[in-house]
Amino acid sequence: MNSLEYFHDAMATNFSLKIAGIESSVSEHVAGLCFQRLDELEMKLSRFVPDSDVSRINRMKSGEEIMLEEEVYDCLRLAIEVSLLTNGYFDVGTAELSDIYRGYQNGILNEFEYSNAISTAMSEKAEGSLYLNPNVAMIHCVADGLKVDLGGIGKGYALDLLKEYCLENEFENFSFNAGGSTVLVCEETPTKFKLSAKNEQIDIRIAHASVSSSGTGQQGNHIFNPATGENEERIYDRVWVCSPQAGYSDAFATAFFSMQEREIQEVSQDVEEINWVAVSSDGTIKFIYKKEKELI
Amino acid sequence: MGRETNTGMESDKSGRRGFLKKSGALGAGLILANPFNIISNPLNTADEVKVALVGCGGRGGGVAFANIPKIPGCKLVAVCDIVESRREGFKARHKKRTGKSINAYEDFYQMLDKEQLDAVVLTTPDFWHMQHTVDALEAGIHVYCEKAMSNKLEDAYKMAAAMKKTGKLLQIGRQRRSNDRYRFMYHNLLKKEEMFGRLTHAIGQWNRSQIWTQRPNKKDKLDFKTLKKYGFDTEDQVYNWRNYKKLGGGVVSDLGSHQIDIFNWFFDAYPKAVYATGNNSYFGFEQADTMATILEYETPKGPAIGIYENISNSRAIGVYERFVGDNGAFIISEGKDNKIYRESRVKSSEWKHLIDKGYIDQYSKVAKYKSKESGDSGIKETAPQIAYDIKDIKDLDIIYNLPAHTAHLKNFIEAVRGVEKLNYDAEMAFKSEVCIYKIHDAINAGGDKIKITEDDYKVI
Repeated sequence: MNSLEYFHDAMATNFSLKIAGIESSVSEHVAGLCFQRLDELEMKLSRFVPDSDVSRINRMKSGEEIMLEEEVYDCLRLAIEVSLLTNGYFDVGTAELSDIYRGYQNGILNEFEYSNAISTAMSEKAEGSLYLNPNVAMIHCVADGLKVDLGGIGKGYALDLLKEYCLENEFENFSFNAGGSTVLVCEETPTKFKLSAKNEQIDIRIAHASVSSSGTGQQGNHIFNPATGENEERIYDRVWVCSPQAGYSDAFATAFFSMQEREIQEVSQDVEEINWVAVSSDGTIKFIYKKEKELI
Repeated sequence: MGRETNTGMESDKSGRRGFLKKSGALGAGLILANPFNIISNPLNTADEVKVALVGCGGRGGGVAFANIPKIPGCKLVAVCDIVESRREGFKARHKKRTGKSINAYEDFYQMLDKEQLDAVVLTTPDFWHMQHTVDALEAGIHVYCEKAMSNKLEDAYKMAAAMKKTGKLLQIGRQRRSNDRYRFMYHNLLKKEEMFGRLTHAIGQWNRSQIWTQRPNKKDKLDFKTLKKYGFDTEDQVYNWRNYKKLGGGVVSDLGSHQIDIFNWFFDAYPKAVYATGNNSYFGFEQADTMATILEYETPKGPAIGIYENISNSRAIGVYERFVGDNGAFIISEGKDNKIYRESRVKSSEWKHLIDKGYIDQYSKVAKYKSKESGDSGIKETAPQIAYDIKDIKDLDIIYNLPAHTAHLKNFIEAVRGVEKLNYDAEMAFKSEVCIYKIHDAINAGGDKIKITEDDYKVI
């Protein structure tokens, strides 16, 4: 049986699901359930949905606490873990910076206002403190000022949940693609993907892993250095990270985009979930880290 | 401000300690820890409300595992479903999550006999709603019933009448009625501030790419003798009951009823007449998969028109309700589409008090960073049209600050306790059900205008 591919718009991008080895009526059913689940997740994880948990977190004032949906809690725990592992380079507290940047891009703020706004937002962010309860799905706002955006991890996290769903239902050969920025593959035979830089293309093969990339091609300068609030600095044109879990590959790719090669290598050596890391910076692609026993 | 506790990650992954030590400077930001200055015990409450869930499908899962755990004192004690694997699955999942046992029943009436229930939550197919609701109310048990009330208007009427007769509570699950933003829009912006003037049009749509049908779940091991006993003729009817006229109400009931109910709420009126057309040509199910309707209103401020469409073959422009008044317009939804627009003849100064109150905000959340109040950031690129967002939800009698489904169920539980009044009782819901069934009539009448009298809306 040939593989069939299904598409769905969610999380401000186009998701696809390719399924092989089952009848079309069954694969259509699987796709439908996966995409419904994806829509549910977006309603919980997106800061652009005013009723989502993330929007409610961003409206919290000092001293307030709210109970969270299970998925939001798990995703925030994963975000904290990657933040710790990358010494804070992965930072979900950049929503205000993104809003200011959009305001600038849309002509609402001029250059002067934009520059001052970034300084103000960075000060408020430094004051902000959110405590995620380790025992129950709750979050406490100790000091307001921190605005959460799960854009650097949410799509990957969602793909991991969809993969779980497929495996629970005994589907074994499938791959997801979240708008080209994260692919998650679960196939008996490795699937070929291209990594592209200005002067070079490389074929990679993935069977049971996820690859995410971060760059500025599609969304402009949307990744902020959490230490400076700047989004104009450029170390790489693109970063790719391969991991068994899409939540990790997505988040580490975001963090690594702002980190030096040496720092990336240090982190990668200590994180068993990172299979390999590649970067492009001068039109060519360079693998800067690979596990001794490479996992695909 | 706080103290960090063991995150659990250090012990799990000892190889990462070096990195965790490096991050020891993190005192602010997002961290995994218990704050010492906040007492986290939100679920302690004096009066426990014992609830049973009827229907262990998708929506039932939301009630049991996402809504009830967030409602103080709401205790799930039993579940009921005609499919054994589903009810036993819920029972096991509940035990795993909470450590507490619940009872599982096939037979609704056996459950009512054996359990000491305060309330039941019905998440069953529409055609079962009336009988279970009426019997529970008459047994002295409050009922929260998912929409639609029924797949027959006369059954919806019986439910509302039973609520009135017994004096017990019956809330219908149109959760937007307990959504803080919708309530804020109605009570504060529309009623108190009258910021949009006279509303003249409501336009709504619920468009989706297709009607996703469910395939039988192999784990369910359906017993056809049992299914027949409970009104199902085929396996497909169990999973896709919405597509069958004798079991559900189709897209108009499932989706349209949410939004046309918002028309009625925000207009403070119910339609006097409807025109509609629809067909099932796209998917060929018994129920229409595509429809459009026009509703005529006589609101307290004058005539108004509602326009509603439902498309099942394209998701184009999604799901929203849009209202147009003579001073402004707004889009409201449970998704991303939410915006307020000022009519250009209304001066910005006339809405300034709403900004000062913190009700609305301008410039996509970055107004506070502008040098001047409005419009002047120097000579530069063309700025976008000025729109507003709801800012702080406040000055309401109750602010739930919960996902709307949870808030709506919480309102019901608090009403059972006598602390709140129902946001959406069955008599209110019945009026919107009347609209829905008149739309069905209009579709069946081939486009004729169908009048609705005041008597049609009455529950005696």
